[in-house]
Amino acid sequence: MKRIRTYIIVITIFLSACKEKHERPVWLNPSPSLSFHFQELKFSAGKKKWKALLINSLQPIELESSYEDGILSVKPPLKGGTIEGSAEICLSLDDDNFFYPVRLQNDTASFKPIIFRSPKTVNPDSSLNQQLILYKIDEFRNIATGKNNELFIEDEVSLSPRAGTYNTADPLKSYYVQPGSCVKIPVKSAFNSSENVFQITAGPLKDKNDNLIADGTLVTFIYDADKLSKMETFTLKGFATAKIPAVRNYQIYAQIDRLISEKIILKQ
Amino acid sequence: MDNINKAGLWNDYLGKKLLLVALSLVLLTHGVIIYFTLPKTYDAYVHMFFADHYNRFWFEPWEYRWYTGFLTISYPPLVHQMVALIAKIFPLKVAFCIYAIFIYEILVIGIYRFTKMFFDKNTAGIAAILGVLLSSIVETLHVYGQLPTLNGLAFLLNALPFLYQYFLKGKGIHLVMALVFLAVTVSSHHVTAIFGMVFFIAPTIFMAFVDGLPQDKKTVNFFKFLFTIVKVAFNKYKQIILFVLLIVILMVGLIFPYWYWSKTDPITQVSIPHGSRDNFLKNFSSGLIFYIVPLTLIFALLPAVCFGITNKKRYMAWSISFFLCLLLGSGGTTPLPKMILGANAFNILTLDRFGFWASIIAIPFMARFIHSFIAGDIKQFWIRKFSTSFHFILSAISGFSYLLFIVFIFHLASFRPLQPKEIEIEPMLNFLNRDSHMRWRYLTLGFGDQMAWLSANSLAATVDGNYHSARRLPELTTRPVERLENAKFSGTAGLASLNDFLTDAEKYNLKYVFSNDRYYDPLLYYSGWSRTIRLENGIMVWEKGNISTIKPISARAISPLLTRMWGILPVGSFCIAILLTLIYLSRYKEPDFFEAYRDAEINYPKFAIYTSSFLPVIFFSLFISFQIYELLLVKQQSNPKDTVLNFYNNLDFQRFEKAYRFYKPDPTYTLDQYLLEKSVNDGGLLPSYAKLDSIEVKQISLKGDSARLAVYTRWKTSLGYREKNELLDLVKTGKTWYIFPPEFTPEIPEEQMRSYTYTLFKKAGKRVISSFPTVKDDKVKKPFAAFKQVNLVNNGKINFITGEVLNADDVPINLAMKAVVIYTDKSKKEFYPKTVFQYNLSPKASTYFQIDMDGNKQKIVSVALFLETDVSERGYIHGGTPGFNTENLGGGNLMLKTKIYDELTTDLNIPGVLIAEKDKFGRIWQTRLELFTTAIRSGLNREFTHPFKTIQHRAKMISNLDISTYINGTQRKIMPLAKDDLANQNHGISMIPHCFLSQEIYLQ
Repeated sequence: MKRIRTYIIVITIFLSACKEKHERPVWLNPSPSLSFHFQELKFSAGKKKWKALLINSLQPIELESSYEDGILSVKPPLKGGTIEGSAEICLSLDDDNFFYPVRLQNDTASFKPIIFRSPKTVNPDSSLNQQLILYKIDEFRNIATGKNNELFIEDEVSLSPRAGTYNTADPLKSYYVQPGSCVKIPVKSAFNSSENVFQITAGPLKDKNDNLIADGTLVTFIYDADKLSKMETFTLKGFATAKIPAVRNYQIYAQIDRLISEKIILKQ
Repeated sequence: MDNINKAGLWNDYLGKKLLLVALSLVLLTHGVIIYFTLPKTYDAYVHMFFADHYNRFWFEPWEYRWYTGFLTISYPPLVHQMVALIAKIFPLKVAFCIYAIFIYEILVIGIYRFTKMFFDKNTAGIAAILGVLLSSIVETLHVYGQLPTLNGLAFLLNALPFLYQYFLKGKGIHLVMALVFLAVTVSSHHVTAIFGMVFFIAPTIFMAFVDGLPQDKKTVNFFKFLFTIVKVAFNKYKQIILFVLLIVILMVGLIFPYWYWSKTDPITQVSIPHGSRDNFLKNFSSGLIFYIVPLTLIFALLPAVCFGITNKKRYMAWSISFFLCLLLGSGGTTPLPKMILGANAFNILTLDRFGFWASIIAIPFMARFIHSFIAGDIKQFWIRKFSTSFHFILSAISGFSYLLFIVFIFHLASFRPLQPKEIEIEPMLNFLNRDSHMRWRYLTLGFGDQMAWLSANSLAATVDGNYHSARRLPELTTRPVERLENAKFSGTAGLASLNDFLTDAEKYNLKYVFSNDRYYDPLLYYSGWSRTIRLENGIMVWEKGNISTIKPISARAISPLLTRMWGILPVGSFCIAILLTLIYLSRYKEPDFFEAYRDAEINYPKFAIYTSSFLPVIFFSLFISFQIYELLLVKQQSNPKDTVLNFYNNLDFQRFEKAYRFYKPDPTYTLDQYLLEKSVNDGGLLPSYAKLDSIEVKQISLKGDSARLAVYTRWKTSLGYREKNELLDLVKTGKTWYIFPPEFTPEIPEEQMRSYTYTLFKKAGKRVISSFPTVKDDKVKKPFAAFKQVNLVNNGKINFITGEVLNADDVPINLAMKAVVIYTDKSKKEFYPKTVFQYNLSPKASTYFQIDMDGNKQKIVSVALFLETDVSERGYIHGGTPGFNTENLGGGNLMLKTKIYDELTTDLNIPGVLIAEKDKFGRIWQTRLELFTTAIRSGLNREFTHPFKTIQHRAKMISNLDISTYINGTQRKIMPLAKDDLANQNHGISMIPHCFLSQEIYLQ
C-alpha cells in the first residue's frame, strides 16, 4: 500500500511538471497596417483563453478579447491613439507567446508646432542670438514630417535688445532677454533734515540698450569719513539709494563692478 | 487547618512564587515605563534603525542610509531581526518595547536558574526580584537602551545550569540545551559570548568539576585541591573537547558573515573617547554614571558578597571572575585594566560592561545575604541583639531608600539629560519626501540618537551614522569623533570633521542640513550654506547649492549563501531554543536536581553582618540626601570664587533667571532690566553661538565684604576658540556673595524708525507638476560668473590660491569652488575655500577667496580651478558698511581699525569682513576672514581693532604655472587685472563686509 502511495505521488508530481505545448493561433483576417480603432481581429484559438496585447514602441496595451466558436476576437479600447509605426500583436497563454507584426497608424491626429529656443535666457553682454528648433507633434507624440521628409527645422534669430519676458502661447516656452551691464552711474544726493541723513541716489542705471539694469544689482557707495567706508546697496527699478548719517561732509562716489561714477560732495 | 493552609500557601514552592512575583514586577515597572524612557536612551534608536533595515530588506546586508553605505553584518542580527518581525504587526517603537520586556522576563528567569546553581530556590526567587530592580540592569535598559547585551546575557545565564549539569553528569541533552542557548547569545551579542566564555562559562565548568568531587577531596589543602581539579579536567577531556569544538563551530558558523566582515574589512579607526575609560577619581561624573550607579548595591553589600564568594572552594573561579570584572570596570582609574586588556582592546571596548558583569555574578551572593537578612540567621542576629522592631525599621529604611534610588535611575536620563529634547520627525519626513529631496544626502545637527530614529523612518540617506564600527569614511575614522551631529562635544577634532563634510559637500552629495542647535549656525553660514525653511518643529533646514544628486554606489558584494545564512540562522537558533526548551521541560527536566549541590546557610562573620546591614542604609540615604542637597540646599554663593563659577555655569546653560540671582539685589535692577540689557549687549558670537570651554577665576583683591576677581573664559565656537577677560566686583551681604551688575552704557540710534529697501527674489522652481526630476523647459540656466584674478602663492611651506570672482549675471547666485591640484607623483588632491569666501553673490558683486592647500612634499604640476554657479533666491546681503584705516607698525605688521555701521533693519549678529592684501598691480596675496564677537544693532556703529600681518615681502607668487579655470564645466579665461587705487592708499588692504544675520526671514 505504501509503495502504491509513493507511485501515486511521484506520478502526480511528474504530470504536474509536464506542460502542454500550445499551437500558434492562426490570424484569420490579417492586415499589415492597422489604425488604432481597428475592427476586430480574429484568430482561430480553440477553446483556450488567450491573452492579447498590442505592443507598440512605447508600451503594451491590453486588448479586449472575446470568444465565439473557437474564434478569438480582439479589439483595442475604444478611445485614444498611439505612437505610430512598427508594433506587434502578442497572444499569450501560459508561457507561450506568439507575435504578429503590424504597422500602426492613427485615424486622426491634430499636429501642433513646437519651438525650442536655445538659450532661453539671453544676455546682451554676450549675444542676442538664439537658435531655434521647430517641429510638429500630435497629441500622441508622433512627429510630423515636412515637405522633404525632414523631422524638424533649424534656424537662428537675432532678438530685440529690449529686456523683458517674451511670452508665447505656452508659458513654458517663454524666453527672456536680460538687461546688460550698466554703462553709466549718475549720482545725486539730498540732505534729509528730518532724519539728519544724506540720501544718495544712483540712477537711473541703464545698459547700452537703454534698459534699466537688473534688480538687486550691487551698487557700492564709497565715501571717506574718518575711515574709508563702503556701503553696499541694491538696485530696484534702476535706482539704488543709500542713507548716510550726516555727521560731517563727505566725498562720495558709486561703483558697480569696475564702473565708477563721478565723485560728489555731500554737504548739509 | 486554616492556619496550615495559609502557611502552605506561602511556603510551598516559595522560590517559584517569588519568580512569578519578579516576572509580574517586570511587567508592572519596566513594562509601564519603557516606552517613555526609550527616547532618552543612548542606543535604543540605533537598534531600532537596524531593526527597520531588516524589516525592509531582510536578506540584503547593504544599508545605504548611513556613511554612504555599510554592511549590517557588522553587528549580530538576532535582536534587530526579532524586533523587525514584531514590527510587521506593531509600530517599530512598540515592537522594540515588546521584545525588550520579553527579554527582561527571560533574563529574570535566567537569574533565577543561575542562582539555583549556588543556593536554594527561595534565594533564587529573591535573586529574581533583585534582577528586576538591580541598578546595573535598569541602567542598561533605561539609560543605555542596550537590548542586545541584555538578550545575550539572558540566554547566557539560562545556558549555564545546563552546562553545569552536562559537566557534572555527562548527559547529551544538557549539552544540547546549553549549546542552543549559547547559540542565541552568540547571535545577539558577540562580545557577551566571547567574554561570557571567560567570566561565566569557565567558572561554571570549574564549579561542576568541584561539585563532582567526593567530599574528602574537597577538604584537602589548596594546592592539592587545584591538582585534583586539573586531574578531573584531564579525565573529562572528551567532554571539554566536544563542548569547545561545538561552541567554536557555533560561534563561527552562526555569525560567520560577521567574522568574515571583521577579517576582510578590519576596523582601523582612531579610538573614540568613552567615559568608561576615564580615571573616575579625576572625572567623577564618568565614575558616577559608569561605575557607582550600576554597582551601588554591590558596593553596599560588598563585605557580604566578598565573604560569600570567597567562602567556598566551589566559588573560586567565580570570585576570580567577579574581582577581575570589578577591576576592569574601574576604567582608567588604575593602570591595571589597560595592562590586562592591552592598549588596543582597552581603547576599543567600553569598560562599563565589565562592571555590569560583576554585578550579575554578585547577584546570587547578594540574594543570599538579603534572604538571610529578611528571614534567616542575620534577622535572628538583629532580633537577638536589639529587637524585632529594630530589624523591621532597618529593613524598611534600607528597602525604601534603595527603591527611591532605583526610581532615580529609572529617570536618570531625565535628571541628567543624555539626549536633546524629543524632536517630532514628521515635518522632516515630509520635507525629505517632497520635491525629490531624497535624491541628495542630509545631515542632522544637535539631534542626539534621534538621528537614528529619523533614519529608521525614512529612506533618505545621511552622511552621518550612529554605529562607529561600520564607518569607513576617512574624514570620520581618522579623528576621535563619535558622530558629526554632536561634533561640538568632540572638541577641535569633531568640528574639523564636520567642517570637512560641510565644505566638501559635493563629494558626499550632501545638500541638506537639519539643525537643532544654533551653535553650528556660524560654521554653516561661513561654509556656504543658506537657510531654506524653518520646519513646524522648529528645525532649521540649511541648503547648499550646486550639489549633484547621489550617484549609484555598488554595494559591497557578499555571497548569496552568506546573506541567506545571516537571514535564517540567528532567528532559527532562537526558534530552536524555544522549541527545545518546551521539549526539555516536558520530557527531561529533573526536579530539584540542584538540591544535592547547594550550599546551606552561609555563616557571615559579624563584620560582614554589621557593614552589609548598615551600608545600604547609609549609601542610599546619603545618595538621596545628596541629590536633595544638590537640588535645594547647595550654597552656590558662599565665597567669591564659587559665586563667579556658578554664575557662569548658569550663563552657559542659558539659565538667565538663576544667573540674575547672583547679582546684588537692587530695586532698580530688576530681572526685566537685566534681560533687557542682556538682549541689547548679547547676540554676538559670544555667548549666543558659543559653549564655555574653560574658566579661570583669579582673586585680585578681598577687603572685608568686597572682592574683585579677574575672570578668564575660553569659549568654544563652531569657528574655533575665543577668549575673553573680564573684571567682576563682588560684595557680601549676610553670608552670601553677590556680583555687581556690569555698568551699562546704552547706545541709542538717532532714528525712531528705520527703513531699508531689500530686493527679494523668488525662483519659480518646478512649474510643471510632474514627478519627473527634470523638465527641460523648467531648467533655469546656469548663471554667468567670471574670475577677475587667480594667483598661486607660496608662503614658506604653504601654498595657496587667491583670487576674486564676479557674479556677471542679473540674478543672485550660489557659488561652489574647488581646486584640483596634480603633483609630480601624479597624485591628485582637491581643495576648497572653506570660510574665506562669499558663497552667495548679488548681481555684479565680487568676492575674494583663498584656498589653502595642505603640505605636500611633491611639486605641483598643474592646478585647475572649478567654479559652479546656481541661481539663488537669497543669501546675497552680507551686511553692514565697513569703514577702515590702517596703521603700519613696521615689519609687515598692520593695525586695522575697522568700524562697521549697521544700516540694515536687522542686527548684525556676527559682524565680519573679508580682507584682501593686494599689491600695487591689484594682485591679491592673501585673503582673511575676520569676525568680531559682539553683535551690532540696527542703526549703530561698532569699532574693532585687529592686527594684520602682510606677506608680500616674504611670500612669492608662482607665475610659471598656468592655472586652468573652469566655470560650469567650460574653460574660461581670467579677466584682465585692474589696479585697486583704494587698496594702494591703505597699505594694500581692501575689505568687503561678510556678516552673519541671524534673522532668517530674508536674504541669508
